Amino acid sequence: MNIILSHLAFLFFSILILYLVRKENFSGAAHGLISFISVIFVFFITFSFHEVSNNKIVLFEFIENAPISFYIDSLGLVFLIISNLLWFCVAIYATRYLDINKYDKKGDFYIFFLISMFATNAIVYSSNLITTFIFYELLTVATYPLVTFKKDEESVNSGKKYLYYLLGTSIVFLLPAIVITYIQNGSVEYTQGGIFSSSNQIITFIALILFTLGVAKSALMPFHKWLPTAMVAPTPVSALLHAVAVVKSGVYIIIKIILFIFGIEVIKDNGAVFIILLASFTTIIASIIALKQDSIKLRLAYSTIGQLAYIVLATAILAPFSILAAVLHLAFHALGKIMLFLSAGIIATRVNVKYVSEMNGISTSLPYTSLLLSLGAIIMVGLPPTIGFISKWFLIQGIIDADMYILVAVIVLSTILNAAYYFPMIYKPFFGPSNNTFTYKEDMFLVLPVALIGLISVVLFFTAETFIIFIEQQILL
Amino acid sequence: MSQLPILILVLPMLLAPVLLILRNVGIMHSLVTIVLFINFFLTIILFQHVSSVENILYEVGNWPAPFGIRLNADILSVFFLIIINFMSLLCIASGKNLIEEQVNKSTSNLFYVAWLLCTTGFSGIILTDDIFNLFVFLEISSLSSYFLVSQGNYKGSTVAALQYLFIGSIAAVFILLSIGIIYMQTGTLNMQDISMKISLVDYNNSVMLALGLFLIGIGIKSAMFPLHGWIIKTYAYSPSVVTTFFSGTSTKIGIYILIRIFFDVFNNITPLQNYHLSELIIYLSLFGILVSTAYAIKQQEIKKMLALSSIAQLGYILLVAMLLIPEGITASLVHVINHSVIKTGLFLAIAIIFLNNQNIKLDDLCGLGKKYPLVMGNFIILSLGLIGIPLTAGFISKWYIVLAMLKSEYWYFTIVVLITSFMTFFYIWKMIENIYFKSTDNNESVAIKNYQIACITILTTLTIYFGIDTSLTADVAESIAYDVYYGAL
Amino acid sequence: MTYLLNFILFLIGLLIILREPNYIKKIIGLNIFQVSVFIFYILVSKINNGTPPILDVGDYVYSNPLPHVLILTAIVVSIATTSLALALVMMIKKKHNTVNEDEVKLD
Repeated sequence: MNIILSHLAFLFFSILILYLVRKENFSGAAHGLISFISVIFVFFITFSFHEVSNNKIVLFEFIENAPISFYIDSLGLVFLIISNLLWFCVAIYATRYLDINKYDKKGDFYIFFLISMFATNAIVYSSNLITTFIFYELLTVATYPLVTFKKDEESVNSGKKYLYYLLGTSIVFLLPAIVITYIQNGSVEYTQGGIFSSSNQIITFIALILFTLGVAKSALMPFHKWLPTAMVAPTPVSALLHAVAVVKSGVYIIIKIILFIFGIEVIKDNGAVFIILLASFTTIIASIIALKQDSIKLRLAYSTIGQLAYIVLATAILAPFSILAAVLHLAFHALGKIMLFLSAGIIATRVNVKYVSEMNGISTSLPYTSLLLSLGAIIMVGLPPTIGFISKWFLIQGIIDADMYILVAVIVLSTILNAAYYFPMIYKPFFGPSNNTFTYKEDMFLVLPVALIGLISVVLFFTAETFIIFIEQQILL
Repeated sequence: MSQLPILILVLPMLLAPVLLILRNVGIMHSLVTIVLFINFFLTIILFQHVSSVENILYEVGNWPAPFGIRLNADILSVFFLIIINFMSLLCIASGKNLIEEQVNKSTSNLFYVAWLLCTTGFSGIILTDDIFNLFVFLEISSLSSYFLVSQGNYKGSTVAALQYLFIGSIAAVFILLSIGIIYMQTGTLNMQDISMKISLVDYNNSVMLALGLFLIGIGIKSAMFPLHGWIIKTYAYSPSVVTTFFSGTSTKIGIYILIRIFFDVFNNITPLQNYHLSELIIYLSLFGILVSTAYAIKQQEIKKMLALSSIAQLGYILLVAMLLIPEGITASLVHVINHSVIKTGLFLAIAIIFLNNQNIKLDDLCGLGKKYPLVMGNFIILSLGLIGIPLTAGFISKWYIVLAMLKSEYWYFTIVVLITSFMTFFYIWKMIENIYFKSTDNNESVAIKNYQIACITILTTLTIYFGIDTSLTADVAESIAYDVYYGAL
Repeated sequence: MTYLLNFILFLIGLLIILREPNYIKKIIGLNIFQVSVFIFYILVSKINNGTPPILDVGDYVYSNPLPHVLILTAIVVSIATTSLALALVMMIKKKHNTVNEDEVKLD
């Protein structure tokens, strides 16, 4: 059977396995094993990519001419590798994290985590809008129990708000956008060059606006509020889902819509400006709000909103280099942000520090964590020699190619703001004055997954060449 | 095979007098379940035959139409017939201890008799090809439903039944008057005959009067805003099995009559357009959806909340049917079956758990997630279906509704439909939060029987099945829509 | 002319059902309402210069017998409805001790 379907089927049936072992102590280990097997599947797909790529597998003719079908292309491959690899690292981290923080009902946690990752993988593999929509909603529903995992009043209220934003935008904006696409073009498949024609500019523009507002998972303003609200969840959830899986699905869908539903030609004249404006606005405002946040997780959340806006901005510029930058940043931001969130989780758990103002001097207790935190922050700001710099470089190249010089100012301004709010996180642990004496509190189990991710980021900087050439060949055709 | 229509009608009617002499509730219940099961099985055979071979026309007493009464089993009829008989069977099958608990012991045999007559009445409305016979069966089903509603163990059950009686009788009289005017104009009572002769009469004022009166009658029956008030009290004060049954059937009968009369018999949609009747219904429905959803959000009592939700969903069904495009009728029929399944499931879950049926408030739902995990698991999937999450039947209805609205000339109202559909989330989620996130000190729990869990699981499975494989719902609905619409042009 | 009177009867019946708080009076109103429709049918069936519809030798114009048949059915339905309504009113009197809609408490 086709490897894509076997991967999805494996994940689907593993839900049953995790349900059966949910009361056992080894449910965490089972979850880790499942994520590991998922990574192996991804390896096979990577190495057999030329045979597998771009063959659509129709599972089910769901609605006339809108089947549930899957395929894999190079953009999807990037996201696939990143999300599954990071899932494995977070699975190890989560096992230890849940134990230390004494959460009960851990089995349920792993089940919903698995369902969320199943939905994410299915979104990556979707070959048309309707399949995407199905798993997009499934992802929202599956992450809800994780957001409200602590079951206290704050979590439940935040969970409700989370659903309002995500379900509301998808029902009110995304669904009519898909139906309009269906009526206008007779199909909803992702096709090279897009399926919209240049006729009927008004409907295309309306559809574009509806899509942009409807995919709220990409955290563009004004529907970004769900992301800070979701920070009440336990750290593994915030790290993997709300820095990698959920938000990256959002931007991934937007990239696919811009490139493969509308097509570069159609968007160039019609609507690119709207997205560019919205994304620029989002990134600057988000960075300003991040400056004002004292809670570490909230600052990281607003940083994510700003970074995601970069990706959308890069795609909307429609230059080959900027699209490359978008894809690269999808991967690199995920690596950096996860390191930040996981480190923040370690800091919160081990020394009970949740606010930036309290971060003074914690490097004596948590040296490795502080180092990894700093590495993540530098990646985010985009300084060389980190991978964050590579994506920024290509982004600026793309802007120059497209003659949108004013956006260079936007990028520079937001980078300065990023540096401003990340700087305390780098400075305070090492050089901040503190009177408290902390003892060494590193937990190897928690640090190792983060260190692994850090190692990958560093290696990636030097091997970035092959990565880039691969993407250039596939996407920019 | 040609006898199937009359058999489906007559079978429950044959059992009814037998039940009058019985006293033992257990035997009565089993007999009724068996007969309804056989009935349902026959409807499936009928469906197979009609969808693959041909329509079945049966002349009662061998009197040829248009002199005699004829039964017409075509694809539109069997579509609704299956829904009615399935819901009737399911509600009785899962309701044994509910009936024992809530219905007065001395009249329980009458309860079953009324149930059978009600099912017969509904089936008769659907199968008949004679317009006066429609009125007769309508009254049969209405009278038995008035009785069924009065059997609740609420203080207000008899009052609610009486109120329902008055309003239902008003509706029936409007329909009767309308039938009289149609007869006066065409000289025949057979529906297919009328559809041929009505175009000759050329839609003069009398016919438009008849249409208008019919609309009021049907509007009352299918809870069209602003004639929807009776549903809330009726659903809230009747026995739980009855509410569960009616939620999926009685208002859908109104929709059947609407489609049959307006599109099939009066097979010309221009009067609807010229006199702006369809536009009126569209505006009324939109307003009704908004108002009832808003009230549902403020509602504390569960049954009233679900009843208001039903009114909103019926608003959607009417709205898309009156768009006067074939996609509209498709969407309407798809939502009929999907909403029946989902709403019956929701009411059934509430009914199973709250055996003694008194005022069920939102707070009573606290902590149910722990006490009844299986039932509540089904409840949550059905709720997701009502909101319209993909892979449930609700999403399919939503897709078709949005598709129909965007293709029609009223596409700018799609935003209202979408916003109200999102508002459904608000009141559903109140229930879910209480069920799963709040706890209660009340430790008593009701013993749920296995067959009850099986029944509700059947409904949940249908919700998911119709969310994935739409051939039974959407494809059939589409073929009905094309038959009805292009026959109407 | 007679149609107009019939229509007035229709409206009277409807108004009684909707406005009277006393249940017994409502039932009376319901009956008036239904009777007005019966009369409508009978008015319809009378044909100018028509004789009662009994077959006889000779060339006669008969009044239409079909609406009378329909009315018989409808009258039976009306009787059933009235008796059910009266039974319900009796039960309400037993339970709530009143037959006035405004005095009945539902909860």
